[in-house]
Amino acid sequence: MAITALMLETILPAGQSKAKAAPARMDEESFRAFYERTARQVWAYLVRLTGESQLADDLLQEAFFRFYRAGTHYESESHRRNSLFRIATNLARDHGRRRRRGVDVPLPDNMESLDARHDQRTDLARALSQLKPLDREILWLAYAQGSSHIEIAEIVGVSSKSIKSLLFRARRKLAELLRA
Amino acid sequence: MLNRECSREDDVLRAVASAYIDDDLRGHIASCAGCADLLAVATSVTDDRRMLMREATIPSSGLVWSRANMQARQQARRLVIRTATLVQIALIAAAIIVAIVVLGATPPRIDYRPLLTIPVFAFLAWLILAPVAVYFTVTED
Repeated sequence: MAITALMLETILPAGQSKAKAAPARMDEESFRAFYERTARQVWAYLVRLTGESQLADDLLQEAFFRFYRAGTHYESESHRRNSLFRIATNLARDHGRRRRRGVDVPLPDNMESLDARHDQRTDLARALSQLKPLDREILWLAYAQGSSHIEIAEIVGVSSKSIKSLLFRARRKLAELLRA
Repeated sequence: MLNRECSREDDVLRAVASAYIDDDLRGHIASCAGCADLLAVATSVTDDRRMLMREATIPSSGLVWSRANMQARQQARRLVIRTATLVQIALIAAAIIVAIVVLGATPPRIDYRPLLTIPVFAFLAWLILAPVAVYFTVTED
């Protein structure tokens, strides 16, 4: 163990070895501040990926738990946020795979009632529910979160070169659905 | 429609962010299908996000922090139990192997064969299988 630590000290620059050997979890203050900054954004993202606000509640907490458990050291706030969105994306995908096995489900009733006062939002929710999960993800990340193509690629696990064309096609589909 | 970006897409996104479209850009959007799509999509997604974030009822940061810590502790406990169980299995297996070797190497002064009856086998099986059962019980994965 001491030898391993010594080797890490030798190979890695100072400060990195400890992070690699035993990932330090965030302290309470940092975690809570990060949660306050990002939880609503992630919740909104999960609502539109899954179409269910209650499910988004559960996935939100699971996403933050997994993020906390990972205990990774991040270079910047944007890296940290992208990592959280990647976790949330994977959770929504896992849930979608388990529940519908690639078949899109209609908008749940609770979502209809949630959006009843806002026709435009209902239209958007319906239109998004007709898109593929990947299309929903990249559209939301690009236009709601304002993420760059590189960030979107990192979050959804697609090469950054293909994001441009994927985004273009998804945008065209969504615009057609909104017009319909 | 061609699969390419218009050079004024950034202007459209800036206009959506500031909620103001000047006449020049408005004229361009009227003649550019790609920018018209972008305006429709970006406006509705941005508005939707704003509304959702406003009405979100998320748990407090303190509660999420407590739950995350509790889950982390439970997970650490499961890991310890799993490791202890595996060590126990290994030790029992080693003990059995040693016993077999010793009994096989020592000249039999007493006839131990009657001891190897069904209850003894059952006890040995329990010794081995009980930790395995515990292992599968506490393992969620």
